Amino acid sequence: MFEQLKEMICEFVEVDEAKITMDAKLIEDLGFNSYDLMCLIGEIEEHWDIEVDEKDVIHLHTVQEVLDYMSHQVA
Amino acid sequence: MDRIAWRLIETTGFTKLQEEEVLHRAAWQLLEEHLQLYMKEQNHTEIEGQPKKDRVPSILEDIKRNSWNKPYLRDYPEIQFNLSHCHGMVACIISSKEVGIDIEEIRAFPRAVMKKVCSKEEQQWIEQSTCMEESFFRLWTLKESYIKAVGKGLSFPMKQVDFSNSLNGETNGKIHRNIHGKIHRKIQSNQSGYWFCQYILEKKYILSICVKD
Repeated sequence: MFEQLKEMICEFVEVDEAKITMDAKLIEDLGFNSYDLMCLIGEIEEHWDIEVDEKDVIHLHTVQEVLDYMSHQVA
Repeated sequence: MDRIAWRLIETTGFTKLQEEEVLHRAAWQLLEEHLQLYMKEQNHTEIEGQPKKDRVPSILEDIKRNSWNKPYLRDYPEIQFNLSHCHGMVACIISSKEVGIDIEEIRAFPRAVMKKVCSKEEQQWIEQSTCMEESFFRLWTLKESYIKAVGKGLSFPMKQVDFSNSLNGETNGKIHRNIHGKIHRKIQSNQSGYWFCQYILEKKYILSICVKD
């Protein structure tokens, strides 16, 4: 899941793959803006067939938090 | 009178993170300049014996943010503003009313984001338009400008702000605009109490503003 998420992140922000660690913050470390974030959420929803509630989006600060959220939704 | 301003910013050769930083600074700089002009227009001349224009830089130091991160001026509740930036461009709006602004470069977009933020009717409108990229970013910036005006950030579902009734009657490919790029069209959403307008700038940017009635 982490590898797939990493690939998706690279699609939306031009960032060195090595920077995409579990602790990386989407906005501060990877340069995400609100558009990049919604693109990523849209791709995650489509790829894993899950629904991400907007109220939860604001709590997804790091790569780890996105992965935890996804694992919880997919399970 | 509302004050809307935009400026092209050269960011070639920067990484995404560097570019974000440069654009962020440039947007605040633009706001600072236009706050001075706005205050002059509004006759904000004196405060405790000090000319207010000299106080503008300190105003920016006093910026506060609401719980959804929307910035505001603590000491000047009568002045509302909002900022936006995208690749190569920054913009701001200053008003006496609640306002939101968003700017984006017209470019390719993933279909998944369209499905996430647009209603079925809006998706249909985009797919039937002569330039899907322009149509998508017209909708994206309108929705984002509303969310920024109400100051709730991404916790507000973008699909809930719907423009299909307002845009469906538009003749594809014939958007009339004035010399400043302003689109001659009254745009409304399903959310009452707010009005919108849009500009197409430099043939590749869409700027949308949302103002509370």
